Amino acid sequence: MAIEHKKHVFRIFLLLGAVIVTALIARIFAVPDTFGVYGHYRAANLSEHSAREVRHGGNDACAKCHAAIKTLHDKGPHISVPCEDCHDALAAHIKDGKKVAEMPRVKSVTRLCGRCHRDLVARRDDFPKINIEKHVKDQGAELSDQVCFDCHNPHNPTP
Amino acid sequence: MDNVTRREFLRKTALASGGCAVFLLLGPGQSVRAAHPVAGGSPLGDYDWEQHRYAYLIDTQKCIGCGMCVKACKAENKVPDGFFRTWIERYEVSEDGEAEVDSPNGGLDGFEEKASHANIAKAFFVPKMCNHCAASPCVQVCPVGASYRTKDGVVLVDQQHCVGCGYCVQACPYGSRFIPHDDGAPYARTAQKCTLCYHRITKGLKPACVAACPVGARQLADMKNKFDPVRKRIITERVSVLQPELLTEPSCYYLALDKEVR
Repeated sequence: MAIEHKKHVFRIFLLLGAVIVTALIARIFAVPDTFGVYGHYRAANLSEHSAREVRHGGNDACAKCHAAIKTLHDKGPHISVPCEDCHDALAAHIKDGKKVAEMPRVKSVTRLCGRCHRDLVARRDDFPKINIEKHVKDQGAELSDQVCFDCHNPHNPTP
Repeated sequence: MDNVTRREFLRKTALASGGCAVFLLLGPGQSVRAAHPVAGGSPLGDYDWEQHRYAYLIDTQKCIGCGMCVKACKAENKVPDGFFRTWIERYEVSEDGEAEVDSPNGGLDGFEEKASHANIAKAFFVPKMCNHCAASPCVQVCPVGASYRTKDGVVLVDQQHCVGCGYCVQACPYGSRFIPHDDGAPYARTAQKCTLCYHRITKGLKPACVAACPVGARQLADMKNKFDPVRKRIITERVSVLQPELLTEPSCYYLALDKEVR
């Protein structure tokens, strides 16, 4: 049996073919470079992630200029507290080995000490917990932002 | 239109598809692929990602809720205000078993005591973060291939490629992802999450949260290093993961996890 509408069938297939070819060509430009090298993602993103700036330098980086403080710090009970916990990230202070800004000062020492030492119910009991208000009052002092430092050296506090 | 015979039609079609095939093989796609490393090599220079597989250990009994990890994560990764890649939750469980959970500003500024308490039977802090799941729902739902898990076990987002649809934010059962408001930062309005400080661990450094923890409650393990003490703790001690029933295979292990913690 002869096909009566050969022309229509031909056109449909031609159209379909054109769509497929267009899609394949568009795909070349739409899919980013390095996509699919290691999996269903853009492989170049791996090095973009690993190339980000390291902002915390660690205690040894601080000790390059502040060696005396580190020696004192490492002899005391705060040895496990990194410098950048109480101060700020190294990158706020040093860039490419040069000082770019002063390290920001801690506004409220009382609050800072309290982050670890306030006697919260949820805080474990085998950790030195202090009712700061009561303790300051018992010592005959007045609560202020810097009051803890009147007796305690934060780099090497003795209880 | 009888002048097109079947033979001629087939011949022309074969020619046309052959031409397309030649174009696709020699077109721009092929030259791009040839310029980049083939699968199997390491994409990160000296760092060989085949030699590592990271896991994370959180000891909830050590955590004191100081929030230094949250602060360090913010500073290291420039996390936008009001969003957190890691955060600390405080659980207070009454004698009747009622649990109250809070996390003021993610624990960024530490915790203050609550104004009033019911009769508390137990209370503790739990640090939370991305679990870097092996069967991660967030990666599965991404429609554009912007979320993926690296060979060394880290779930990352390609912010350049992300379209900000938010499927992954909804898919994550741990609430570890977010899409920040447009604050002008590059790639704002795309999905963000913990990267396990991929820029640090690939240089042999610890993630910022691990380095900041003063009590050792947060630790990074390399499961491919047989001599890693943290790996040893994970494989020899009684650890649990968050919501194991979801079969997401988290890489974050918890010690002394309470049943109230989800």
